[in-house]
Amino acid sequence: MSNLDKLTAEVVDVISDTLKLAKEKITNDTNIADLTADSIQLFELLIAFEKHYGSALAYDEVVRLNTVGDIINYAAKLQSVPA
Amino acid sequence: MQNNLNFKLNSDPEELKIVSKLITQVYQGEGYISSDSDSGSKITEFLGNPDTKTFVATLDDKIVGTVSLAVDSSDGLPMDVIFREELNPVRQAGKSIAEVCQFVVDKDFLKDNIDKADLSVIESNITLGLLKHVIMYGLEVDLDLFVFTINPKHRIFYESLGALQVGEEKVYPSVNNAPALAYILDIKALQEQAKKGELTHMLLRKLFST
Repeated sequence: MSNLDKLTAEVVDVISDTLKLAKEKITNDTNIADLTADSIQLFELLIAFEKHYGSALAYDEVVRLNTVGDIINYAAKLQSVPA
Repeated sequence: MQNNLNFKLNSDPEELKIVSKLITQVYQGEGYISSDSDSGSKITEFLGNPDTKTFVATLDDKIVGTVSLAVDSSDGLPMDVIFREELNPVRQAGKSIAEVCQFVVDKDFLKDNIDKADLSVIESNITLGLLKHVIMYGLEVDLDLFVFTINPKHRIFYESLGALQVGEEKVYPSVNNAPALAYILDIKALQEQAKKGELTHMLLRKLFST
């Protein structure tokens, strides 16, 4: 498994655990706003990613991520994993 | 749409009717109230109370979100219906409290009218802006604590803000007996932490930034 595959699995795990969604529903193209039932859930996801990736996350950058793929790319950048 | 987002403290009775309608619509969608009853008007009746301040978010002049702050008075707070026992010791300790309630964002409208590429950022900015305005107002009028009744499914969010649970889980009769938890948030302590640069979560830092 490549580092990017591991990172993808990690991001999918965080989303699935936080939003209580089946992993099959979460693909790279899935829009984050479609996964969250309300705006609080959107922030819960942000909190979960902050817990996972630490204080390197910047609010203004994270809220601009639209798809699961965007989050994976952002996390890859944080961890210096080639996307 | 221009996506011109604004926030204000509502002072217009006509606008309050729109706010009430939005809350009812979102609560119906969540299953908190049924569509064939008058429970919608029941849950929003305190909006007209002079001790309740209602904030609205408008997107190109359309109301897309709201939150209310019911300041404690001799009439009590909406959540006293089930959590009076938990709130009374706080009152007896001399703390000034207000209940943050009816916090809704019109997600359906946003989904139908906003480009998908802008949806997350606009929804986040509405949520953050409403919370920020209610906190700023609370600090301005010298409140000590915010209190909330929340659905347990959202406990992670409120606990991440630093809110502490009081009492046990109960059922809220006015929202179809949905499970409810009471939380207290010390806004003054958070403001002090913000001044010292001690806030740990990025969301809190954003909420208390000037």
